[in-house]
Amino acid sequence: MTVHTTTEPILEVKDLTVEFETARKPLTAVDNVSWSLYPGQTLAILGESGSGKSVSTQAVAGILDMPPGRIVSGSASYRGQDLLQMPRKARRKIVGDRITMVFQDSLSALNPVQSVGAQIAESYRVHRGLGRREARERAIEMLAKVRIPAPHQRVHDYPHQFSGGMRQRVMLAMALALDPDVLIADEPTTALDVTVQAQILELLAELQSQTTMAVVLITHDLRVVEDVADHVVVMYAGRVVEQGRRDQVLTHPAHPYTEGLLKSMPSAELKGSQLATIAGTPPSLTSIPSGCAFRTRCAYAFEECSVIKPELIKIGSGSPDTAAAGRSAACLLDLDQRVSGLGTGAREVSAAHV
Amino acid sequence: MLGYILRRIAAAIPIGLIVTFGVFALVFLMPGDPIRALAGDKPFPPTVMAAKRAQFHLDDPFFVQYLLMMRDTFTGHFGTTFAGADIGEQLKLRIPVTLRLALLSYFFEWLCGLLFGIYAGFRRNGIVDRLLLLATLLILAIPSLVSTFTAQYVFGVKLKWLPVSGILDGFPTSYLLPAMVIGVLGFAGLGRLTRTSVVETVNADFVKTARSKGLSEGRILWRHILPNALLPVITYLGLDLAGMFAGAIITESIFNLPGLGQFLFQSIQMKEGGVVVILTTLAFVSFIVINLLVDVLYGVVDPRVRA
Amino acid sequence: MTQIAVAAEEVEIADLAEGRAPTTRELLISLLRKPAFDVCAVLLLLFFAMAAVPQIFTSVDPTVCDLGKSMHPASAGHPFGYDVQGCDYFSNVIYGARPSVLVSVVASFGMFLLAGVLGLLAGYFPGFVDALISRTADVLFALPGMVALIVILNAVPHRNIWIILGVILMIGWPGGMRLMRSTVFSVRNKEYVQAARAIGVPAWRILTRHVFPNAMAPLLAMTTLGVGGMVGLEAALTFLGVGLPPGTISWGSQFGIAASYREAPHLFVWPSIFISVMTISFMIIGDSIRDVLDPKLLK
Repeated sequence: MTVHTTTEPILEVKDLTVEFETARKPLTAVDNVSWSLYPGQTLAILGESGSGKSVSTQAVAGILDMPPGRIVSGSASYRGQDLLQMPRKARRKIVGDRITMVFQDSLSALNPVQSVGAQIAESYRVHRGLGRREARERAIEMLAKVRIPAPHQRVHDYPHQFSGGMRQRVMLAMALALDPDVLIADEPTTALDVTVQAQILELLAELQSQTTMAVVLITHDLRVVEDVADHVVVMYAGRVVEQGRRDQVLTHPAHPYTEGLLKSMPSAELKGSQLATIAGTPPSLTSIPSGCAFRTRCAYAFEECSVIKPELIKIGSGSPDTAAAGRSAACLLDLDQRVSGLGTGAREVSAAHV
Repeated sequence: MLGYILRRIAAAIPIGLIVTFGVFALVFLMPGDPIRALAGDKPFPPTVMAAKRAQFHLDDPFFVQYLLMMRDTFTGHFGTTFAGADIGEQLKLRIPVTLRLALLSYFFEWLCGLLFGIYAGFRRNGIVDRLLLLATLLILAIPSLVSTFTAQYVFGVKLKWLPVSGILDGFPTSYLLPAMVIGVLGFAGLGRLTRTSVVETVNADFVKTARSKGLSEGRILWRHILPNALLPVITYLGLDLAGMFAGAIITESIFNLPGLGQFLFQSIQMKEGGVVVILTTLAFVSFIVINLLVDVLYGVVDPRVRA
Repeated sequence: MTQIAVAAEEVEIADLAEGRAPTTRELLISLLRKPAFDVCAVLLLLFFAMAAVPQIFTSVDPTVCDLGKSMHPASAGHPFGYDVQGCDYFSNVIYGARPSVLVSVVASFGMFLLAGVLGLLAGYFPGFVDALISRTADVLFALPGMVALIVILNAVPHRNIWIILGVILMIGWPGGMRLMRSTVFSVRNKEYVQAARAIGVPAWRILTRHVFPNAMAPLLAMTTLGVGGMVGLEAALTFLGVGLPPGTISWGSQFGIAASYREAPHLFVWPSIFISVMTISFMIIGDSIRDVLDPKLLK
């Protein structure tokens, strides 16, 4: 769980914008998103469904359906090479080998008519050129590594013969088979029971601790972020609204949206009181509000919020600790004041700052 | 697997008995006396009549007739038609005709259906896809009687590319036109089914997984998409056979091919109860066998139904 | 606050387009917006009128014939020429619409009811009722339908259109029944059905008010797509000599006669065009209804 901020990022996404073509006008699903991932780090991308969190990583991995998807601009550098500009063939040497993925619904994400052994072995055969028998042996080793009992027998079984938790372990075995540098886990525990969720996350953390693998964890669950993330990127309506170190973001949220999310999380201290919620529902991509997309649900919103689209700005420059972590948020409020815990940062207090 | 097959066969036996019994009863109930009809305007002398009736067990009770007929069928003693033709000989002559017709039309149907269906499914909304949908809509919508006659008239009578009817030109020339007609009719259903199935599979989550594993498009197609997309197509194999039978009856009548379909149709009109039951049994048995094979094949390809 | 209200309204509009089940009126409106549907609906209304009151389309009696004009081509006042008996072919083709329309509409509607009710019973009452219905279906399924139709219809001495309809229904229900049965299976354990059962709603009411309306869509789609096939079926049976008795005016019997007189293609062409236009119209209407019922298929 150490953060290697001094080394080079292993994966760096810059100004990524993705649109979906529709019959009427193109919809912007991902708007100018940037983040960096360092070796050994766990980066959580937090957001509600439709916030563009899955679309951004799928675009990076080159598995987004295009059309209707379209990458308008941006770059995604893996060890300095831009994945988005690369020819397909070259990208296949990286995605699937050095960068691998785990998906949410393991039942539909695994091929129903192939044994799990064959699906894990496929990576060894394609990327490492191993023979059938050797690839099978390695697949059994991987199944044992993710703690599937009796791997010698289960290697011949088919996805539908596993329970949800076991199937997610198979997905994990498949993704970790080639010892990747980056694992992109798209809501890996959402479909599972809470106890099984914890087991999978623990397993993932344990396997990660043995290597320098970095993990991008896409989730809508603040508790998951709390448990495993080093760094958090909060997305709302296709844009990054806040990002920073997990402990800082969760204790002193800068953006009102993050604040709302935190307040709506049940905890023991809140026993007996009513749980806060964020008013309204997330906007659909067809009708993103002008200016700040969150303003329609924001308790602090004022007139300019509907006109000015806030950019991500660095915050906490007063404290060297926060600045070093590269903390930033996209809001017109006085963010330094908010994160320092001196007030709400509402406009009346610091009109001059805008 | 063996137990499954045996269970399926055991389940087929009572159904088979009911079907043959029902068909025999229906033929028995048909109005008119077959021997008298055979004689035409000049009735046979009473002694000949009696001999004929005894030969075909026509004076025995209904149930005895049924049992005798079943015994003959299963011991291979098919006997003769009322007019005196040997049924075994007839079958020997006619089965190859129907078989050739069926195989040739299957060939056209599956070749075109799979090729166009898979291609259109991959290039959805492309030109081939749109043409396929339009063409199959027309084929499915136009009654088979109309398309069969039209094909016969255009390619046989007007253009004279292929024989109009009969099998005098031998295989494959005589069979090409009727086989193409049956094949095209079946192609419409198969092509649409394949297309829909491919479209659904291409968008499946596991294809995205395969892509995220860095596999080549060729490998994704052969290892991941097609094995899944072709599963529903396998079930079509069995359904197709029923359509083939109906098709053979009409097509063999229109193109005057001396096959089983024409034989069945003529036998019904001649009130040849025995022949009708034999042919129906044959249809029934091959139908059951093919569907059993399809189910077994499906179990081999799809691990989810093996259980 | 007003902005939040506006946003909520926008979301509601988006929901309307995506999730909620549309009302019958909305379905009708979206159907009428399809030009292909409108054209086919008008054509079918014409055919229905032809079947009901052929006199308004032609003043010529189709049974008044003059053998001297046998198979003559078209002439003034007789656009389709004459048939083998020397009768006006235009009026014959117009009068021939009745059996086809009757068979296709009545058989489809009857099939929907019969398969729907049997499937409902088999799906909702597992055990004896299901076993009885499903095993009967197995027997009927074991025979190619055409063979069964020919054998049964041949055993009937005085065939008329109602007997043919009855036999088609008797042979044809298992396919729709199985479809209905499987959808009833998935509906019968839904929360609203269990809730109704829990508060003691009688089975009959649960079936008619809750299960049937929620399980009928796939069968309805299958039925509307099959209407066109029924038109052809009547013609095929009559052509094979096990349909309507000889002398009845129908497109099927016209095919049967045309088959023996290749030198006069007009005998074949006109009923072909009529029957094909009718089946294509049914097909396109069935396709449109299915699209509207199931927005998922539109993507």
